[in-house]
Amino acid sequence: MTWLLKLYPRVWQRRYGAEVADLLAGRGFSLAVAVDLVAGAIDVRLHPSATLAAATAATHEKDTTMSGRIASLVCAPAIGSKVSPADQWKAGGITIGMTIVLALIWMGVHVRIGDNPYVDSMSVMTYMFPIVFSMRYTYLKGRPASVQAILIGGMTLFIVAIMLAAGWITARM
Amino acid sequence: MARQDDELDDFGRFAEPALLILISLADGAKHGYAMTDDIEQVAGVRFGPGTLYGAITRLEGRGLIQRLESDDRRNPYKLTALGEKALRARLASLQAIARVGQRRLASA
Repeated sequence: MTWLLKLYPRVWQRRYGAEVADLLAGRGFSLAVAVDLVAGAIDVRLHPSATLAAATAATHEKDTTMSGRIASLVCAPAIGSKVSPADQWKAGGITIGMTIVLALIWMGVHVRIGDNPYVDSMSVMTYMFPIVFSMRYTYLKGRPASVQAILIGGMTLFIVAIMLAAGWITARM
Repeated sequence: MARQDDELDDFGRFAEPALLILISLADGAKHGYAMTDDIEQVAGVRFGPGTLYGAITRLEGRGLIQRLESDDRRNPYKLTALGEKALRARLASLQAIARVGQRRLASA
């Protein structure tokens, strides 16, 4: 029945494949075990962050070098594994609330200044900033405050720089 | 009242297997095969490999258990300090619930 392990993602197979194959060794075909393996494969496919978190935890135990730590940060689960329903509400509130506030501010500026390539390009910030700021409660949850500040501040500045560049290019077209 | 035993809360259908794995590892490191046998003896259920490793994946990802390196294909797992704390908290919570249930049954 080890052929069923091919249903699992490679990263999972590398980590647990041999162990599970060992568990299955010597067993004849069992419908219950086959169904269990297929359900397990579906679960792993639906929740890849759980496997990634396990692999990352293992990497982190072994590798204490700076490159290893950076790799563990980059390979961290896409969504913080400890995001609670309260965090989801906070993130949703920030996304919706900030979008409304920034859209109103942008509309006010647009009415006062009128058509302007820089103002037009800044319209993007009304939905991009809220997403970036809500990350504090999702992707960046559990990270040190300094890391959150650097990443959120860095992304904010990066978006502003891109929008200013877009406005500058548009103004010269 | 704030709960201290929320480590296994979002394990979904893997919550029970995860708890039994933690209980199984409480008396020492075990590999998957030994865990399956031990859980069957303790709780009378035999988890399939998909369920067992679904729970192991989550427990390892949370840092509640740790895989020990081995030359064998069978890597043993041990309870971490965090895992021990989570297990103690969950068992205390279950004990409290059981006490309330028994008290209510006694007075019924």
